[in-house]
Amino acid sequence: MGLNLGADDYLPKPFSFVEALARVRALVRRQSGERSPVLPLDDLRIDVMTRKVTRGEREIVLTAKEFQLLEYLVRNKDRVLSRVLIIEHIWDMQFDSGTNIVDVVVNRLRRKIDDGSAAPLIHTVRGVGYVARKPEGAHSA
Amino acid sequence: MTLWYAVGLLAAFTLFGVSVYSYLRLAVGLSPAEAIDALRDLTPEMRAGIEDHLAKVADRYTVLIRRPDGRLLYYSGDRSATELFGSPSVSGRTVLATIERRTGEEGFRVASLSRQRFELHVAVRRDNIERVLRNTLTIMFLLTPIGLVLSVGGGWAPAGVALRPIGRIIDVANRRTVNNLQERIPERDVDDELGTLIRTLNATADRMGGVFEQMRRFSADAAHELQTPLTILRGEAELALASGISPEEAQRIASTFLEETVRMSALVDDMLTLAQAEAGTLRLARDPVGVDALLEELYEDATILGSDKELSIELLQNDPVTVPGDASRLRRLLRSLLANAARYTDRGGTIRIRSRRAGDRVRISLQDDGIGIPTDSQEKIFERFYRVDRARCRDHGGAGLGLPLARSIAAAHGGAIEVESQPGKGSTFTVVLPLEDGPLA
Repeated sequence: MGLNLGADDYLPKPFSFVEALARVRALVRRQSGERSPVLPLDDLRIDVMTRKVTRGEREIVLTAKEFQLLEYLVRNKDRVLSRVLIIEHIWDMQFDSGTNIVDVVVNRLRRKIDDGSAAPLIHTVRGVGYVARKPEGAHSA
Repeated sequence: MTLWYAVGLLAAFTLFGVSVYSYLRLAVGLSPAEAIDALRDLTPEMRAGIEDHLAKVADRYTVLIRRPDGRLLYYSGDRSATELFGSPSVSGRTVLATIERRTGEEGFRVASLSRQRFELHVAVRRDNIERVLRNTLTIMFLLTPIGLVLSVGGGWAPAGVALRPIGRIIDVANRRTVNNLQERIPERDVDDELGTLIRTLNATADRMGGVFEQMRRFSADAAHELQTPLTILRGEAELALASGISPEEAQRIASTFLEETVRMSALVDDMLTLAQAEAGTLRLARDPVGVDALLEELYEDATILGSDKELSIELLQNDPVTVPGDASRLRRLLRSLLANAARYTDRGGTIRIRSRRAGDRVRISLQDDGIGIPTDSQEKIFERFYRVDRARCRDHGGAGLGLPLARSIAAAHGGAIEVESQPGKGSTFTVVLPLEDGPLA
């Protein structure tokens, strides 16, 4: 109904503020006509439109879920995202956070993104979650 | 009702009485003429048999036969003929008349037939008639109320006995509330409508009691499920408010907060969806959903989920069909089934996924070679919060709403979920959904 009244997007309660922020950003991007389909992080390039991921010269092939996870992490770069948030965002909270589904995908992603590169981009923050950031920043063990 | 019965009876009695009395009056009134009628064919020539013939009439009536000139031919009365019957008529015509006469204290009804050659008169004492009529009326007035009382009373007693069970039913029904639905209406030995009614009412109460019990259990279970995250949150909050925690610790606590809150949100969301589905108020999108795309996603999820236990996942068939529905909910449905399959299959096991078109439906099946489900549990697993083994480990997975939700979603799409399982061999869950013959994905 909110959409009928002219809203561009809506979120049912309760919602994640991270999600809300992401959607607002998306709307702003759309409004400003900003094309910017490429998310950069260090030498990583994610083309949101074509779904192509490159690191330096290397093109990386990802599965659907791996891509979703990478995009999520990189869009929220420098912010630590908990497993629960990741499950909520990518799996719509439909798998229990007790499973290690997130860990498995992160590991697969790491193997594809970070192995064979000098700088690891995906970090584990023990007890909290995962974060995508350039290794020059301070990171906790 | 008794009142109506009594009124009806009264009307019947009255009708009866009035009819009889009227008939009597009429009949009695006519009788002298009737007697004359009976004697019509008499002629003076029949002298011989006349006396016998007349005797039959004479015991009730006074009969006079005379010539127009007054000569008496036959008279059974004991008073002056002239006094009773007046002077002979000289008309000579045939006339039949019935008149009233009074002689002193007595009243008479006289029927007369004048013929050319004789007159025939028949008289009856009115008093007699009137006395008879009066007596009849009295009897009727006496008998009607007595008859009425007897009938009503006689009907009342057996009716009362017959209807007493209804009184009992009313008693029990009045006392019935949510809490005492197991109270039985005492059943009857006789197998009649009342007996059937009582059995039906008891069965209804049983069913409703079952539903209430289920609802109560659900509320209790839901509250229990929420208590755990709330307890964790409380503990973490208390910890956070303690002095001297490091920034890392604070972050960890916040993360736990987030995790538990999201978990509770998901539970509440599921409960709401389930409630809406059961009330029929669930709003579902109705778009063409590519089933094969869903299955490919599911396959990837399966490989991820199963990697910990080294499960091998096989996508054996994936017909390109489209289903009208809600992609998000259907995904949820499939993921619930997958989570169960992965959860209850031992290390190194296999999960086989198939989606095939069957007529105007699609059959999506998840087959595992896990621990299986005993036959008597195969329906119960679709109840909320049900666990086959009593030990409910929180991180073992799920809150117990996955399967009930899955079934509700399937039903909301016009489909169903079938279960085949053998303990020790494995289980196969099949989702059957009606197709839309749209453009293939």
